[in-house]
Parts: sequence; C-alpha cells; structure tokens
Amino acid sequence: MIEERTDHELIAAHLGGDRHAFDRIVERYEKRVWAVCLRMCGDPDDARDAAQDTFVTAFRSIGSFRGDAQLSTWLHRIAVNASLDVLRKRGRNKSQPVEDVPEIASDEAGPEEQAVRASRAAAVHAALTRLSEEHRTVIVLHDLQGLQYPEVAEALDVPVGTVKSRLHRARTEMARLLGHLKDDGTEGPASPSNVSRNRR
Amino acid sequence: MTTHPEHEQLSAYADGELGATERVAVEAHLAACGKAREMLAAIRATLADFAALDEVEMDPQVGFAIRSALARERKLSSRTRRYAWAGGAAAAALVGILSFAILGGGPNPARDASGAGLGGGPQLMAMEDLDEDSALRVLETYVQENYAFPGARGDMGGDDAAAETAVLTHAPPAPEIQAYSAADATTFADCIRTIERESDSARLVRSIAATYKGEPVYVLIFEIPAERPDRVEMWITARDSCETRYFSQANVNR
Repeated sequence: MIEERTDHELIAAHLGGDRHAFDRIVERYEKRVWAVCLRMCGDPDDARDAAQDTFVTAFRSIGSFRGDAQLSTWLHRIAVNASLDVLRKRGRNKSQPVEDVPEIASDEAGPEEQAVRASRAAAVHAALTRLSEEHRTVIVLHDLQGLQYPEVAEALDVPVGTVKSRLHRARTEMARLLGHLKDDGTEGPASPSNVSRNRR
Repeated sequence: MTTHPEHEQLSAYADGELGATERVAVEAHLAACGKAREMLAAIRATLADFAALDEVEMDPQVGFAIRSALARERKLSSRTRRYAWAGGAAAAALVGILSFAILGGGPNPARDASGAGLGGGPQLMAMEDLDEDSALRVLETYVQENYAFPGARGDMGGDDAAAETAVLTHAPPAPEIQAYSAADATTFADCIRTIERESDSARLVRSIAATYKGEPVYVLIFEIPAERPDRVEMWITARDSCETRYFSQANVNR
C-alpha cells in the first residue's frame, strides 16, 4: 500500500490517535535517518542506536513539532543530535590519526574502477571521522544528504551565512585530508586529476 | 577584481549558489588568481570524492531495531496512561474472558508433537528456541495458513510483487492461547491488553508460549482489521516483564 498522505497529514493523524500514522513516518524516513546516523557515527552499531534514539525522540516530541517546518529537516536535526550523543557516550568522538586516512587511488584504472571507487569511499569515510562535530555535520547534511543551505541552517538552528562559512572550512579540511590541498592552500599532489595526469 | 573573494564564496560558487553579481565577481577573480583556482579545484575534487560514495544500504535489522524501540516506547507511554486511569482491575477481568490453555512447567512450553490447539504450523517453531529468522517463520506460517497468494504457491515467478502479498481466504481462526502457568495468566493478559489498547480493532489471533534466545516469551500475532487490514503483526514479549523482544509484520490483502 503506497502511503499518499503528506507528512503533516500523518502527524495530524498520529496526534489524533491513529496508531499507524507514525509507522508510516518511520517507513518514509528510516533510510534517510539511517544514512545520517551512519555517516555521522561511522560505525553501524552506533548508527543503529542513534537511529533508534532518533525515532523514539521524534515519537516523544512530535507534539511540539512546528507546523511550518519540514518534517525531514526536523528529523535530520534529531538524527544529528542523537548521533553526537551516542558518540559522546562511547567516547568515540575523537579525531583519528591522519595516517588512518587511506590514499585515494587513480580513477583511470579501467577495469579496476570499482576498487578505485571503494578506495575513494574509504578515504572519505576515514577523513570524515577526523573532522570536528561541527564540520562533519555540515558535510553530512549538505554534501552527503543533499539538504539545501536554508535546510541545514534550520536543522542546526544557525544563520545561512554560518552554514556557508562552516561548509567551506569543512570542505577545505576534507580537501587537505584527502590530499587535494596542501597545508599552504595550494592544490595537493594526491588529487585524482593530478595523479591521472602524472600517469599519462 | 584585485582582492580574494571571501573563502565561502568559492564553495558557494562550486555549489552554484551565488547570485549573478557575485558569480561574475568570483569568475573575474578566478581568471586572475592561480591560488583561488587551486582552491576551487581542490573543493571540486573533494566533492567528486563525495560523489563516489554509494547510497547507504539499510540492514533490515536496523528497521527491526527501530520498531522494537518504538514498541517499547509505546508500551511505556501506554502503561503510564493505564496506571493513571484504573490500575489493574480491568486486566484481572480480562483474564476471566480469555480461555487459557495452561501448559506444564519447565522451560520448554511446546505441546506434544501433534500441535493440538496450535493450528498445525507454529508449534514446530515453538518447540525450538526462536531467533529472528525462526520468529519470522512463525509469522510466515500463520500467513500461509490463513491467507492465499494470488498465484499458485511455487509459481511466484510471474509477478513477484503480487506473489508477496497474501490475500485472506477465510476469517482468521479463533484465538489460540497458551500460557506458561495459571500464575502467568495475569501478566499475559496484561501484555495482550497493552498491545490491544494501542489499536481499537487489534485482535489477538495466535499466541504461543515459547523461548526467544533462551528467554521465556510469548509470541503474539495480531490482526487489525479496521485500521490496518493490510497488515498482520507479530510481537514477541518477555514472559515476566512484557517488554518487547522482537516485532515484525506481514503485508496482506483482504
């Protein structure tokens, strides 16, 4: 059965006593919440706990959800906070040593394309764990989850200008960790495009 | 343009988020400044790496974990309301209504191999210690016993989507209830009532006293004909605490 009710209709139904309306909300958003939690936590067990906490928190507090807001943005906000809470409880919210970030292989490997892609993904995940909470959060919400600047601003309760500056700093840090940028701000030697040029 | 644009403007430029005036200014600067071009290239390379990430797949166990957590939360809030209302008097009355088949003692609650009173299917599961997989089979068995599939069983290749949705062929059987002991009956009735209270039309159709990962539990199968005719729910609740240990659902048609 395809659920055709809007988010706000489901919320109203839930608050009106429809026991299954919240189940529909879960079905609609669980994958997105899971993705946020996994990318924020970096560990599937932690992410599962954070995803559970996200929906339990949403269940408890949905009565205070503002009607003019987007449910998806609200859930992203809860998921980020739940993830950070889990990480703090586990004591895992510490940067990993820089040498843990795998080097990115060339993307010109032809039949090895999948391996290159996996290598890139591993490097990105490792680099993400090295970012501060603030920077990881904006990267996850904007660059990985696809939220727009105003949505990230609403989710984090900060001005759009703050999102822009945080995002740029976060990307610069990621670029350095991934070898695209040297510490002096110039383009780094490990950029895939540079590697590709060197191999030609 | 002789000054560097604000750093975040390069990110916003890479995102296509600048207005026309700002975009022209940034492009003019980029044409003249190698360092800004390098920064932009690094940002774009980083974004290209992000694009290499696959879409995150969600393990079904995560969905179960979320629903189990919500089921616990619902029970907690339901209990809070219940205690505020009327205490346990109504639960005691319910015990008188339900007809329990009281099992002998011991940790294995299964009946004899004939499965009398269990509908001829789930008793096989009740004789073994359940886990997620075998618990799911209990639910599947119930659905197979009471629903028909659009295509003949074993010929599900033509329309997978249709074949996965069962269609009710007859009224669900009267509840078949087991409890571990007479003393358990009150707790058991309380469990059922807690779940049924969450949905006015929820109806217990199968109950099996079993063990789940070594813990004595009740496997409770509910139909919700008025509110969710497309679903059969299975709750596995701890015998002593009534806490949910596992939850699953099957999609059906009527």
